[in-house]
Amino acid sequence: MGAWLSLLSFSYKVGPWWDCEMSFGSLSPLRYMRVAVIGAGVIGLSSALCIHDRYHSKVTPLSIDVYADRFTPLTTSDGAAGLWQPYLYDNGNTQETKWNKETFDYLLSLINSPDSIKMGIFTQSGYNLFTEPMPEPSWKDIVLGFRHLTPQEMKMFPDYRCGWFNTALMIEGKSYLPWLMDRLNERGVKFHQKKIVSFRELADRRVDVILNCTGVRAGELQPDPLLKPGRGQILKVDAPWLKHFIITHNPKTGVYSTPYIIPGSRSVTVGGIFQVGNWSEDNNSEDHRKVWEEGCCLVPSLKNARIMDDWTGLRPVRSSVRLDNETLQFGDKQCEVIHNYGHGGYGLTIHWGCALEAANLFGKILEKKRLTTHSRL
Amino acid sequence: MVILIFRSRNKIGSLKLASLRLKLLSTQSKVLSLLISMRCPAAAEGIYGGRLCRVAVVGAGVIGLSTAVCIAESIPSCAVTVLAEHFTPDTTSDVAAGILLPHPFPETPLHKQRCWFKDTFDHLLSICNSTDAAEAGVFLLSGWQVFQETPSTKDPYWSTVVLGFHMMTDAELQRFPKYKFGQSFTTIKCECSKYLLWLEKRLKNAGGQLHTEKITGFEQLTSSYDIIVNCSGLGSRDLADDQSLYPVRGQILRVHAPWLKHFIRDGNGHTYIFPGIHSVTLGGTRQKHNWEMSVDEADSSGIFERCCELEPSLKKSQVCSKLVGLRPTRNSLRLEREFFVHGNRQVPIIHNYGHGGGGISIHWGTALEATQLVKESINWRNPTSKL
Repeated sequence: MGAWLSLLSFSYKVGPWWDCEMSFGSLSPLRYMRVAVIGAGVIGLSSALCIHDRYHSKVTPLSIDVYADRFTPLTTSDGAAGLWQPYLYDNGNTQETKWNKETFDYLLSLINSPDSIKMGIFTQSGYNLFTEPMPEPSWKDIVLGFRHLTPQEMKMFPDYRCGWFNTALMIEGKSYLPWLMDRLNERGVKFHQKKIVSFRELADRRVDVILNCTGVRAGELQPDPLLKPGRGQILKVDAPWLKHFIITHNPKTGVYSTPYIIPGSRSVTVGGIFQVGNWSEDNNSEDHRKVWEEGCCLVPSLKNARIMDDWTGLRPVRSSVRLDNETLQFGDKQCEVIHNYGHGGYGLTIHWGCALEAANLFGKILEKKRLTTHSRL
Repeated sequence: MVILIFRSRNKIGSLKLASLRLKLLSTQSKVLSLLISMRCPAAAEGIYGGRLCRVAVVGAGVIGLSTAVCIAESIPSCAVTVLAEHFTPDTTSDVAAGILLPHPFPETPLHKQRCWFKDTFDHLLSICNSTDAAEAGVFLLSGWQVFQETPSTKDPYWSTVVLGFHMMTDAELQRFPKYKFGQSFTTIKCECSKYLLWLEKRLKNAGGQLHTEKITGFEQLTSSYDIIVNCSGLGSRDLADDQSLYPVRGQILRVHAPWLKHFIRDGNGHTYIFPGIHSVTLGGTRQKHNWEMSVDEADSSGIFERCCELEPSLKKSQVCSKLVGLRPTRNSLRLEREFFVHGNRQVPIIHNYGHGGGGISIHWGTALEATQLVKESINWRNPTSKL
């Protein structure tokens, strides 16, 4: 027992991600480990990067392969507007608020770095509008300069009664995902355009750890009744005079079902569709009309803007993010699976906190393997 | 028929209006003036012996055009003509970033400055929230004004005019490590390259005209115009023989940085970043009594370096253009009437110049006041004109 405890002695520091390491005392690195990441959206790519950077010196060689049917710019993360903003309330799920905060702080720490624009990170301020007074959000102390709107400001939005103003961050998938892929490429991570149809397929290839970052289609690999598509349709509009995000809320109809306008670095996203259970990835003309009309009502100057494009995406909606691991047995082969999916409409917002947690779970798997390996000697 | 012609705003109507006005001016029909007094009692106030009051506005920058529009739209009995050597995009206003942030006039009472600023802010705010915003080049912009030393006035007079004014939090200030204090608020940007064109259109719709002509003396205008409105900016040094007016040279860079959504201004006024519709204005310089219109490369590098210190992501931006403008500066804004005597004519001149670096910030307020002076001048001329 004493020997076991001394083998397991390690120190765990919490700080900036590059400092976060689990040092395994004087043990030699583990033998070769093969990791497969399924999914190349923001969750898959950031988890891969986090795990590589934390463990590549602890596990040599650490081989990471990313498998996906869609890569940037065709993923859900690419179509998202990229505003950092969680849903209004965590309803007690403080772990998600922690992950959201970790992501915000991480992105903010990079805002003045040379890579910020390549990564698609920049600040943007804006408005959250309500028809009735609402309690303050769980993220009010995470964003910068959070405050209530003054009566003078509310006059600009005659259909709304009250609201908030704050400075948040943008993280644009169309820039961030290519940046992540470049970083992973530099680290020798391989990419495969391939749809994985079962975990067994990877277990057969002697993969030790699978990172399941399959988003809305996670149910195809393992049924999950809690996971549903939250269909969104947006318009990309040329309106470069708009410099604020505006998100309206209606607690009766649900999140993102009322108009929102989010300017980006290249175009303005106008949206307001959130259809749970709808798997259609086609643009719908009725949804287009609703988004456009309600957007123009909210911001009259939009009427003279040129519509560049429509896009439909399926948010991977779940009551809470699934971030856990399980051991799967396929005959004589054993496979560890870390699930990291179900981020709804806040994937970009929460991605880094989840990547850190996925890396923690990976560390626990390593710990277990060392124990298993050692006990065989 | 008369009402249709005089009130018409469409293309065909305006053409008919223009030709009929010419006939009016040359024939001075008393019958027509009687008709006008019966149909348009308000117009009767300004009739000069049966014809419209001819107003010349000298200058086509933001001051000249906004004053001309204000007069043409609110005094139907005036025929407004803007005369200028330069029109957009060649005016001083075109170089300005156009952020609504007042420029201090040491000798103008504070309540006046606040009034002009508020009138302008409110006027532009209603354009911001209308379908005209994009064409007019007017939009909301939030950001921060940061100070290396805490200023003596933490709550300036305009803090209740702009939106959401408050002191920056410690977390907000962390992004500006050299700065101790900051103000966060939402104001308006008014891009003159679009705004002036939009004002020209509005002027024409109201029956006004624009002529390219350099006015070197008011005597050029006294025979053809009844009232002169002088909005010639720095030109008034010669035109109005006003030696108290002097240039403050401003150089700016325009860069392509579409990810920037906030303004950042150093409270000392020497460094500022103002995102616009298609480019970001980086500034600046404040060189008093400097008339140099060509770009100074040392100034350009200085501006770029200082702005990159405030906002490091600018290092990745591309410079699109470099421009110079001379702010028409004076200790107090000249907004008053004087009488110009030429031969046997005594013509009222309403001066509206000396806005320094605050022209766009107060333009509508001063246009309204100048228009009021024009109205009083008409009444002064014909105190018993009611028929």
